[in-house]
Amino acid sequence: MSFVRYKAIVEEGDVVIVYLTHESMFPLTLEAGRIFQTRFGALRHSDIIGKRFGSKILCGGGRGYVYALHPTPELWTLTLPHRTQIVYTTDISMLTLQLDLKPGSVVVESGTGSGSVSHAVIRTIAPTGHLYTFEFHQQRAEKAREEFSDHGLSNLVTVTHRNVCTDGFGLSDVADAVFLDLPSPWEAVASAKLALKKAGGRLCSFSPCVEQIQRTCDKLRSHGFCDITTIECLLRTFDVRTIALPEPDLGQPDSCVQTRHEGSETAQSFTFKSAVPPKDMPGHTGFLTFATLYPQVETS
Amino acid sequence: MIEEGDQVLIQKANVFRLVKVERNKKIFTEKLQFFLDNAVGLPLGSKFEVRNKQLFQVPHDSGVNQVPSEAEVDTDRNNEKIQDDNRSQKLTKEDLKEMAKQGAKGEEIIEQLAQNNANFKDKTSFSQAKYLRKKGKKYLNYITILRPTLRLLCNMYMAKSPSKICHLRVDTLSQMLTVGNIHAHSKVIVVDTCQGLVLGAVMERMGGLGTLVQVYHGDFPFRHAYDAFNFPASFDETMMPYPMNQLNYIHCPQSIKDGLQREDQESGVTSNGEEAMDQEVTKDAEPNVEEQKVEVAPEDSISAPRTEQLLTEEQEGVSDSKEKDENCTAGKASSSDTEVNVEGESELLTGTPNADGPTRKRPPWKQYKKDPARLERQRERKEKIEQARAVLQQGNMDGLLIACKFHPGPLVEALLPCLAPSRTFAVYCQHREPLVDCYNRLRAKGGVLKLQLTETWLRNFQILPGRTRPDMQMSGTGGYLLSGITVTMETDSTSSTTEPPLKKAKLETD
Ligand SMILES: C[S@@+](CC[C@H](N)C(=O)[O-])C[C@H]1O[C@@H](n2cnc3c(N)ncnc32)[C@H](O)[C@@H]1O
Repeated sequence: MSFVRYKAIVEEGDVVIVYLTHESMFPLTLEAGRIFQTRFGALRHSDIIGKRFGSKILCGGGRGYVYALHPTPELWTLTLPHRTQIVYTTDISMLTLQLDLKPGSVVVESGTGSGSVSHAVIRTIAPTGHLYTFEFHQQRAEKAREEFSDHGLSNLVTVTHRNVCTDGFGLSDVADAVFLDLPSPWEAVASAKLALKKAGGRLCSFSPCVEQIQRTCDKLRSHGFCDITTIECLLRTFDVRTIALPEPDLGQPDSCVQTRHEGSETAQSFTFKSAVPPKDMPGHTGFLTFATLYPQVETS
Repeated sequence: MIEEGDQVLIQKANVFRLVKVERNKKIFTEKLQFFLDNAVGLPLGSKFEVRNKQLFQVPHDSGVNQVPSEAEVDTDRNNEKIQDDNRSQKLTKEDLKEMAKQGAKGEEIIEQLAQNNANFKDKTSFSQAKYLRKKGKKYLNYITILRPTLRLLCNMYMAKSPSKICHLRVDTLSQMLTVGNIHAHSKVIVVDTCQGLVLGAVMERMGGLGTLVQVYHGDFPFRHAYDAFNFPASFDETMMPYPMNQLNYIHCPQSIKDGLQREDQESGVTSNGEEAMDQEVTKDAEPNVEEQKVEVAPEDSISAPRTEQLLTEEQEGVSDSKEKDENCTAGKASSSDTEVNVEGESELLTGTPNADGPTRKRPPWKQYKKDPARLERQRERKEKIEQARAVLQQGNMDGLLIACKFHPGPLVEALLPCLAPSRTFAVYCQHREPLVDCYNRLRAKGGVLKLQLTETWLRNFQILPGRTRPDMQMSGTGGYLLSGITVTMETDSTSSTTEPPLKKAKLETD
């Protein structure tokens, strides 16, 4: 299977995202004969194989059911095994658009981390683009390589185990865009500039702290990057509910007694449908800094 | 590469304009006038200085003053002694005019202004930089020619006429594209009354691979922003227009033909084609006009002179290409028709809906009606609509994005059944209430998971040594999004307990 190409029917060896509830989903690689225990009861892999993606699958001998969903980078981001902190879909959406990514784009990324950004980027640049992703933690690099292969993405991505801050990307004039999610991104700016195409390109750096973007922006300016902007983007999810507010009892003067009897006996309420903002929500993920490298003018 | 015939964005300071690259055509932007001829063949992203109405390429740091680095930030100076009166500047307006006449460069004028400003030396380096930046905006004649990317187009529409794109902010659009999992080789339905901006965004993410059904409102597909992307002609083949007023007839092929025939007859009734066309335009335009009066008037009045100038330009461009299209009959199907609509919309913007309609160089209707090229275009269009219908009927589309000025509820209900199970959709609305309604409708119907009503919040920051802070102004709203995933409605045949979808929904919330 491939994460970047929809298909209709689930086959053995595919990854499905098992949906139990809105808050509970997990990825499952299907092997006939295996059983997975869910809180709704035992789920037999072979009950999923051969079904359409999006089917309702009974488990626990018919006591409950789950849905088998087609994996997408967004579902993967919600369910992937965390090896590091990850970037979530709201920020990924923004960086994808702000880096001008589209099929055919060549992108350089570091660090790979848990591959949350990588999956989304690969989806957007497929089938003709390429992602070069760099990770200095050996096991993480290997695990990511393995996942990309399991998800049918190997031909779209190259995982390199390397410290990009000390050893650079080792690429020149290839990339349309560079994405940095590193503890000290400013140390990778010089080699990011080298990796970008001479015809110009875009760079994005994600950092949680002000000091990090401060140093990164200084470095970007001194390396000739232009249009440097920094943004923060947060997602607010509303709860859609029907709400009934009781009408207040303002007392009943005698002259109004009749009207009261015409209305219903029970206390009235004002009922409305509302999208209720959450009481708590993530207040900060990170700053996204963007910059453009323009084509260099040939001095004639 | 800047190529003739392509659309490019011209940036002067923070203002963007979309123009078509043509030789010998004067461009007006932000008080500058120039010809693009010298830019043709140079890389997109090149920066130019405007001198004598011609462009001269310059390095990118031209006219950009350096941000003082941390080390240079002075602590000994402050603005304590600055006199805030109008006497600080020794140069008079006449002096400046004279300098400009003598052909002084923008930089020279600014240098003179700084030297002759009694306060300049006393200012902190930040205030100095700010002063230079401010003067730069006024006196420097630099422009940059850019590829119209989705990012820049969003900025341009948002700054100029947000109501034309239903106030769809860039971050919200970016969410739609990822949440909708738009990618190459997928089959996507788009409903877009945002100038075709969403349509263009989706096509760009599909890279011309797959199928894109455009559900359009009015009589012809409208793709103003879409055209800015300069897609190769081959991309058009993946595009299938389908009229919105035929959505209830997806499963009744006969009705589609009827609908189209009716449309033809209607325009046939009037002996004069132009009249018929104009009626169509105004009919389409009216709700918009109202909306603009109510909501957009303040914005537009601020930038009125600029907008008007721009529109005249745009209209020129439009009629030019129409002429070409009529000479070269092998033009894209319905493209000349589309342009009628473009003009209609442009009129809207100027706020002077012209009852008589713009004068067009169309042949008389009787003659035009029988024009073989026109009939051919019409046949092709019908064929495409039939194709779109067939594709929608199959019910295995991969994605649905809606961003329009209509209540999305009925649209979602009509189009969701066209999606395969386990596919995503995203519905944008400028307002929250219609999406609450959508949410409830979909919940009641079932067949969807992970229904989410969301909003994104976007804040810009100034990052400068010692001066990092959020921008003083931020956007108050970028609209709302309802997204979800489709699943099969039928219960497994082996099942004994058939639970209605609502019961399951309850289970989720506890
Ligand atoms: C926060 S994680 C990246 C998460 C990733 N963006 C995601 O969404 O899954 C940062 C990663 O960068 C790696 N890293 C840190 N410094 C590095 C360096 N100098 N060179 C390469 N990788 C580095 C870390 O090992 C870690 O896995």
